[in-house]
Amino acid sequence: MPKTSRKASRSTTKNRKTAKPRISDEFSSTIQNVTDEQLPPEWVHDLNVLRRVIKRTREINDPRIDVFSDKVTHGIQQFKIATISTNLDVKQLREVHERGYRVYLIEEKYRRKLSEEFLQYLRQAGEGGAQLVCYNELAYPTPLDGKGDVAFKNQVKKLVTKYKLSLIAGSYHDATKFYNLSPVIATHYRDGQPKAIPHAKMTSAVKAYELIRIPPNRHLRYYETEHGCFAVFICIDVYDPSMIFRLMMKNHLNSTEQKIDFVFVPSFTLKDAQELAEACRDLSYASATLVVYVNCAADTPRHVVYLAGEEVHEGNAAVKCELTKLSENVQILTIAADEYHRLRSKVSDGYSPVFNYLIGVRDGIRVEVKL
Amino acid sequence: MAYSFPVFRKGIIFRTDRLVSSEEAKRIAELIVKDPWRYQSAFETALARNNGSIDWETDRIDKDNQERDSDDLQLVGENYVLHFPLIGFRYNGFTVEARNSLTVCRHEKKSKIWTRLSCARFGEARTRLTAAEVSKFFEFASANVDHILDGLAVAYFQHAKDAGVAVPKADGYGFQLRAFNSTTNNSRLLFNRLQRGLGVSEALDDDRFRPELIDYFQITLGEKLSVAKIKDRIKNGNLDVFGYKSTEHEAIFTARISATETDICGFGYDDDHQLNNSLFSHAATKDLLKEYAQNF
Repeated sequence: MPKTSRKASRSTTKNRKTAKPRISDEFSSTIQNVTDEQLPPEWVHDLNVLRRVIKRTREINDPRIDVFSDKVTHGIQQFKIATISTNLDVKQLREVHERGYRVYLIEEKYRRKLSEEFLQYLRQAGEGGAQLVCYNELAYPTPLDGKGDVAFKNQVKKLVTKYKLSLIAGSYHDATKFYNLSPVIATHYRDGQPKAIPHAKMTSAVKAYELIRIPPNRHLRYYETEHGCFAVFICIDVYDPSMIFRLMMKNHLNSTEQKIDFVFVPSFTLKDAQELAEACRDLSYASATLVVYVNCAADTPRHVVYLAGEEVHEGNAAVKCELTKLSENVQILTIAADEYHRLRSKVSDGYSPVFNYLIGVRDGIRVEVKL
Repeated sequence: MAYSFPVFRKGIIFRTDRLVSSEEAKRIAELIVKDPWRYQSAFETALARNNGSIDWETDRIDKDNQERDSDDLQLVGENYVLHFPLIGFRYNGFTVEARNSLTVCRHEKKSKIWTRLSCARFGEARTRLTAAEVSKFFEFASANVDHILDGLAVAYFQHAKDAGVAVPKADGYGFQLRAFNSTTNNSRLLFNRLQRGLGVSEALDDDRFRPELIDYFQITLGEKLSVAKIKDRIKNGNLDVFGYKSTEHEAIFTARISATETDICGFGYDDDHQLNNSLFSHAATKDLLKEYAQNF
């Protein structure tokens, strides 16, 4: 279709808008504005192609839930989220290149120090009243099947129980299976004991020389805890269109699927933190949710939270929140549940008809017809 | 008989400035889930009061309701959406399926009550209707719907009060959606052409399309109009005509917007013989309702 006809369609709408009598009432003028939002018919074919492509994500991505808590989370008054950015440095890692995989394990001489720091930060977050805690990628000291690993894990679990936390414990490269795994730890409702579920990274950061094993099942995984329902995208997983589109469809205002409240993005990057943070901002807008990004000390931003496309910090008048900086490594964000829901509603309502149509929850679109 | 399965939906968006918190909305919604029959009773009372004897179809509808998903309370987006059990009745030759819904909103969003009346058949088993019968169904629905919504609103405000939430009684903005199917090949061609550049006024001059377009505008406007008068109203901007396109259907809709109410009426092609959720009239009205309602 030549571009000229598209221009003609636009001008038709404009002319009709001026011809139509406007009604001053708040309700009717809102409806009139919605009615005016009509797409040129020549856009419909391409939109339908895009819509079908996006919708097929459902065929290969069936979200899978792990339930830690069967409590309904609607009654939560406020969310307290701690982000922990460790000082882990590439010099503290050793490369293992085996069977075509390339992973990075913590050097033995640094393990003890890093483990102690890990626990110290977790205590700080717990004492600060955090409910949800997220570390940066590779922050979890690599387990090597030693006695110390079990003891360390038990200490983490003990703190999770003591402070009633839901923990995304950074991640580590598995030394024998070559996955990049993030332990998700929370108290399980069945026996009241803390349970750890390993969450696998879905994409190798090849440019950063990470070649990891990928789980055969690449479905969106999410976790229901007493503090809310969350997904974890480890670092560049936040660039994966299958994950993003599936989450957008799931979280859309009109979707009847269970909504995901938060997305945690632990990352370890020396130079791409800004780009990853931008991806988190986009995700928070497109899925109308709260996205928590945590990087290591090597690049900034180290801690950043986005809600419905807005950066959440005390200097942003658009979001009421409280940010407590316990140190360079540990921050706690407090946001009221009502404020959280207000912003989610606001962004959902602002989506254009094209957006609503493309992600598949609306059956149809309004198109211009020549009068 | 070219038409089938007219569907009539109307909702009231409460004009209130009282903001409901998340916790209050949850309290109200939970109370409603415990006592949904209050709304069915309000519906039945309103309908019977306005029409006298109604032939309620309890057996078949009870079976449908048993087969329904038991998840009556849904948290959709940031709001609680409650769909009440299906109600079936016969009146004046029409077999009607009805469902009431309620959205309990929080924060700046406004709560809404909806009712849907779908014509399943006319007479014993006829699903194909004349234009006059479609008009008659919409007239019946229109004559009753405000009484039904008044009854539902009373039930809702009582539930809010019972939940300890002081929501002052408020008037509402009416939002009405009507649609019916055309079953002819000419209409299928018409919708296809309208979305590919044929003007509505040009279609009114085409012998293949004129009869159904005249029926459509007469049903929409509730009055008999000549082709010249229809063209005149479109030209003067008094009728807001727009196209609708989904993966299954193409259609034309007309919106009439006033300070107290909006009425949107459309027709599209669908020759299915069964009343179901994917029928044009059912699916498109639901789809547009969602789009408009989410703005309040």
